Amino acid sequence: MGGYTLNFRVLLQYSGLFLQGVVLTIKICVGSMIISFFLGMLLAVMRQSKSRVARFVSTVWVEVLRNTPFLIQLFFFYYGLPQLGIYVDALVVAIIALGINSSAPNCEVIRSGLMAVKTGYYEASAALGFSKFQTFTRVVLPISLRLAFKPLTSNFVNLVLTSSVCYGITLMEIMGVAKTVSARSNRPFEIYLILLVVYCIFTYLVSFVAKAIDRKIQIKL
Amino acid sequence: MAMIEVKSITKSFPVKKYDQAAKKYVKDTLTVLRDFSVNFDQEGVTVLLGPSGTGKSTLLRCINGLETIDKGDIIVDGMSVRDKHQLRKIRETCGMVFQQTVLFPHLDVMDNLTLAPCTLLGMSKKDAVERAKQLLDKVGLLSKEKARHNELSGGEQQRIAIARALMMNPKALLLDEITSALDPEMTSEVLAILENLASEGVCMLAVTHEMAFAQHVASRILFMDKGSLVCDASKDDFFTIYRKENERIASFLKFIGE
Repeated sequence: MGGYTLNFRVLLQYSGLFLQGVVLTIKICVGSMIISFFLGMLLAVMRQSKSRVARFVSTVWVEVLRNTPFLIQLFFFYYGLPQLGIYVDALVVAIIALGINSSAPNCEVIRSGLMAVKTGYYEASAALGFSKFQTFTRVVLPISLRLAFKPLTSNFVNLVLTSSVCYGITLMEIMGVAKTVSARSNRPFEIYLILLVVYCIFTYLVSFVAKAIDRKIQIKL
Repeated sequence: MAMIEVKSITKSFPVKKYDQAAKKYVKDTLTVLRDFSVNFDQEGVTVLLGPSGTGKSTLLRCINGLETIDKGDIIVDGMSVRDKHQLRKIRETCGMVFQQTVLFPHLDVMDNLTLAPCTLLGMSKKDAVERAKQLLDKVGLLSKEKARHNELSGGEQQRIAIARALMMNPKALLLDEITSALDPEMTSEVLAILENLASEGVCMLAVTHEMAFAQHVASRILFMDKGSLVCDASKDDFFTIYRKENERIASFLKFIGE
């Protein structure tokens, strides 16, 4: 400890690089949030469906993803797929892999939302003349997504934090930038301090937006 | 031709029964309605009376297609409930209100009312809102159009549910013990609305334990016991002749405090 003086000034020259990193991280997070949300919804519906095959596929999907490390899933897609002749851009791989990875917890919370919708709502909408599909899209899904919104937010916060692993496949998002800058400037303490703060701001922003939305859509059963 | 023809239907539910000898639960069936027939015309208020578990609610649910029937057939306005493609039309013809109010929690009162007619009847939003306002006025809740279900009392919710069913312009209303979960004050609120509707000529088919409603509003009374029809009479006959002559009805009415 003794004698170390913080020096952020030497890092100023890298601010452009940092900004690019921030933009890339936001791209990864937003893209994978969208994928994970819709995929999670699809999986939840499959898990609740009457079809045995759909239930089986969804269960295996969720269990495999929840019980394997994200880094390995990422490497599997990035280094494994080209062996089969499938070449995909690193950013696309990152977005898809993170989206798939987060679809598992999203499936679980959306499913809990679906299960919380009482049979009375199904019957009331059936009695009004809604078809099964209309009942689902007009009544059941809107209710369950509202119920699942809060836990979904915490999944999204997790997603933002996990996105830092994507530097492992050569992506220059902020973690990748930090690695590079730290090697060039030899100022790891300052750099990772900044990184901690940046991730705090990211996740705080996610919760802030989520709280604002939640106030608008929250329901009491 | 009657509007609703119930043609010797049988309805049973799967239940589990404990087998003493084998010391395990075995599958069994509970027959709620047995070879049950009755006709309803599109007029007046018919009240279904009888002890719990006799199949009154099941009958209403079968008419609306919420339960599938094992045997027999129900023809609603010329359509069979066995025909899945006509189920939607049948449900338009017979609006239903339940004991537990189920206003959609993610919509306010106005949207609760307009959702079904806009989606199913292709009504324009403007027309639907206009009609909803008329009906809300009728149930005395015009001021609550922006309220959510948790800001309404049980009685108010039930009145909204009645208005919601009426939005589809049904030929008959099926009411399944709609006042059972309410206190006497709210019950009278809801019954007053029903009385009004009856005087305007809305045809109703009601399962209820409210004798006051049966006595004041009903034109015809069906008494059911153990899945079969004990008596099908006009209100006056029921409370005079049948009450004296039929032991089962006499004891039921005695217990209910009439």
